[in-house]
Amino acid sequence: MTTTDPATPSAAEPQAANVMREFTFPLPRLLKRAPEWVRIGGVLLLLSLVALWVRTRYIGGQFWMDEGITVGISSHSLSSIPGILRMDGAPPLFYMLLHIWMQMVGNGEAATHWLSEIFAALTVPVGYWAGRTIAGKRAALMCATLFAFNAFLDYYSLETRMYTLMALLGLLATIGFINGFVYRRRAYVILFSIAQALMFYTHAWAIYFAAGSVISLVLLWKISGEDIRKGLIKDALMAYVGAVVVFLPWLPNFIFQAIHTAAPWDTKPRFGAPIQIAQSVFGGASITVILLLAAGVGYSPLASRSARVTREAKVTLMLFTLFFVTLLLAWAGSQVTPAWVVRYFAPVVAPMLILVAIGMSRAGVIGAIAIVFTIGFMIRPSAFEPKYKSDMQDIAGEMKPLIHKGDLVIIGQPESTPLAYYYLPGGLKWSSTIGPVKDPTSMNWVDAMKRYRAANPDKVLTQELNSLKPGQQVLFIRPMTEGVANWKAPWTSLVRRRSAQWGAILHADKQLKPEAWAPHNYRGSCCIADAAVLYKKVR
Amino acid sequence: MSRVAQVAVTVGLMAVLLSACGISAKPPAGTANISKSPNYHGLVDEPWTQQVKCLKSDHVKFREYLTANEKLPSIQIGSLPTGPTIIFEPTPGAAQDVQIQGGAQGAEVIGSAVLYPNQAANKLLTTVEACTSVDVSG
Repeated sequence: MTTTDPATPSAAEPQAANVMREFTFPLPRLLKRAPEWVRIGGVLLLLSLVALWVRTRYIGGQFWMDEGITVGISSHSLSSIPGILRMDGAPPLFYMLLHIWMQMVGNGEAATHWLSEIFAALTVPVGYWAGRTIAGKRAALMCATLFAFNAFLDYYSLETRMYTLMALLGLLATIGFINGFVYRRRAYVILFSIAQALMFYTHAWAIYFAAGSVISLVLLWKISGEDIRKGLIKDALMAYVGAVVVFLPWLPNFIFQAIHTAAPWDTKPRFGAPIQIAQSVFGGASITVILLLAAGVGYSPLASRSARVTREAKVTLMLFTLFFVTLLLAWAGSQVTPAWVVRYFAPVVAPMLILVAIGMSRAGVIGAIAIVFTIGFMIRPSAFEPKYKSDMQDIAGEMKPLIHKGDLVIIGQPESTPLAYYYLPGGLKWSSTIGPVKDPTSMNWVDAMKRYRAANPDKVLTQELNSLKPGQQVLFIRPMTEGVANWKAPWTSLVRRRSAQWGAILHADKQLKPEAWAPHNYRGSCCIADAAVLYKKVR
Repeated sequence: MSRVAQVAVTVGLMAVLLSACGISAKPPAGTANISKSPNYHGLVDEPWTQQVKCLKSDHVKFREYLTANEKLPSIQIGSLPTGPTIIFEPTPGAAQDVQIQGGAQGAEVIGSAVLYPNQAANKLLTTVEACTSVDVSG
């Protein structure tokens, strides 16, 4: 067991020989003669390219609801994005980066997905850095491979949302935390502080990660000797105060959002979290079992009494508590205000993968076999990337020749308005089942549940219909609700009901005649799909 | 009786005999009455079994019926226009199809059920939605 610098190979690999049969990867003579940085660089480049190839098979796939909102908000000027986000509920970093990105490459699906792709691709070399600084070269290569072939990053690299950025920041924060606080390399404390501050500006789950890291630090303090304790509190205070100071300008918005926006579309989580993690982070039960078994073998020497007090054991414990306590706090918090969906796991992907990679790197040939299985499982492009996320693009394509300027579009699910706005032609009037829509590029979540309950379908819709002249049309787009999982929450169950109530009024209105419906070809969708009927006002 | 008439009567009687005319059910060889056959295991799989159980446990008044044209299994909660109506399509895909084509604009699609809220009160509707969702996956 070692407590020396893990960046040196001698410190990283001493356990493996004791535990399992060792393996070496046979290299051609030409490569053996090449400098290490060339070999490592070549491996990282290859991993990144293969990961990019896998992750870009459906890069041009259509948006779903959340991406419509993200692109819609980011299409506003940089200075107005924070004000719009105050009503949405998210912090601004990703939206501002996306705004700049869209100025350069456009707002198409492939163009915006590339931003998420880049953040996901960066996790490969940064993952190597994590493994190298925390546990040596072999762990570094395992780490880079796990980040290159990962279900969570595969899925969200094709989504114009902040989740791959959050995963990358979570990775940087983990590197900073372990190196800065466990190995006491003080420069890394600054990295942790910056990464944590950026996480605050990226997604609300940064709060849970910060709280998880504080609890981990307290635990570290309790189990450590003077070598780690010395200056730990001072460094920790500096890191957290620094991050909070950077976050201060956004704090009033954050408090407002916490009080008024929340996530009424979500439900309280139960005890399925391990299954969710196995599926969404690792890619399924089989691969999770393989990875955990291999990592378990690698960590088995830590079970001995003497090994438990080593710095290596502390690193293992900290990586575990970083993700476990974060998830535990988020789970508990979601019992009060639900905010638990698998995409929010982004900040804990890194500590989980690093923990598994280090274990595997110490499992000798078993770790090597597990990594081969991982690549085999994950290399199929169709396995974890959604081919069809929604059908709004098809609906808009079918309706475009039929719909005219000044026609009214009514959206059954209010938060789908930006998605429909993205795909439908300009010059239309917008409304949703919560009422008239002033800005169809964003969703106003402020006290949304209260406003939605109060929105009387008869009253709201009658006003809308009376404003139309004969010959004008109404396009009613509503979600398909045949499955129950998406429609259990207070918000979504009301969306389903309101859509039916609005549909009933439109159907019964003698002034309206159905003209067309869409989609004529529905291929299914991973997320939420819609159906649309076009009516013409005949008198 | 002429020879032609004799042949006609004989052929007619044979036809009646072969077609087993006059016997209500045509039993397989060696079986007297099919309704008593031990091999009869058919059973109608009503789509509303779980929903009916749920509605009963919630003390909701309802009646089952078949729709006039397509004979689709249906449930009427209370009475129209205030009671919701549930019509069961054969599959969730069929229910989805009805919605896509604008055939159920006033309805919520839950699994294979097409639930018309009508003018039901929110409380009743919440109960009916919950019961309709029983056993629905996805």
